[in-house]
Amino acid sequence: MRKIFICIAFSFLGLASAIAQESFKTDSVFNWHPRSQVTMSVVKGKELKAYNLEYFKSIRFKATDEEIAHVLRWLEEDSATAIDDEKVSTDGHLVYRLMRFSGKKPSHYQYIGFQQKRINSEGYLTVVYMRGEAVPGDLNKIFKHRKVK
Amino acid sequence: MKMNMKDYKEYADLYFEGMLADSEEQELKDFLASAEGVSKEYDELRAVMGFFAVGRGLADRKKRAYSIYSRIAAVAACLVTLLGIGLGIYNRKNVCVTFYKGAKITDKEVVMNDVESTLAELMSSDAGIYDQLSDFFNTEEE
Repeated sequence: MRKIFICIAFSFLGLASAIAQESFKTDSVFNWHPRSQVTMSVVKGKELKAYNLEYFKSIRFKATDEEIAHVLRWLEEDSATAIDDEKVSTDGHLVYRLMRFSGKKPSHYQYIGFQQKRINSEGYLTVVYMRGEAVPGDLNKIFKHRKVK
Repeated sequence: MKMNMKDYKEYADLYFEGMLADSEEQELKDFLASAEGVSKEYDELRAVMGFFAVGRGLADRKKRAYSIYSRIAAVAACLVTLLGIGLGIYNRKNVCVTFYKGAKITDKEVVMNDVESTLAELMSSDAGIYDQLSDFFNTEEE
């Protein structure tokens, strides 16, 4: 009886973590590839205060056409609940998308960002998830046209 | 202890006064169920003991049901508390990490540089095709 109770208790702790995470289709991209094949950053807490964010996760990787199609499909599915959706396409290919969603608290927002680059005919994707009190104006002011190091 | 007539009468009186111990009550029951206790003069006592036995059975069932519900409620309360603690711990933790070619980097400067450059590229990529071309020429090592 005690063992069963302990198992159930730990299952609930795991469930708590799962509930706390975002639940977007695009989130699948973060678990797709082994870490040796991607560049991924996860930041949570005080380092993001300057940007009015509380959580940031990004992934960059070389993608096949099939993988790009998957990601574009997930973005489209997630866009159904977006309150803002900016898109830029070039020659019929989506190269940039930034969607804003309601957060779990008032004045909190969630963002999914997407960028596609073609270098020597190979596709490179960047997907970003972040959340916090930042509004698009804040992010544009801080990061737009900032020199890339 | 084998009961005889005298013991029976004492036990019967004590039974009706509610002063028999459980073991003594069992002895009385065993006596009534034995060959010596089948006589008709014990029928009344047998009937009363049978009635109380059924009543006690019903009361025990109610007690058991109540006990199960309170256990379930206690377990549910513990689980909800654990859920709350789990969420609290998860939400408070600071994290700052970059994975690059399989290596885990926790140097805050390096990690935040990656964050800032990622966001700078992303936020600038809505500017239009000419800016994107300049991005294409500024290839980064993968």
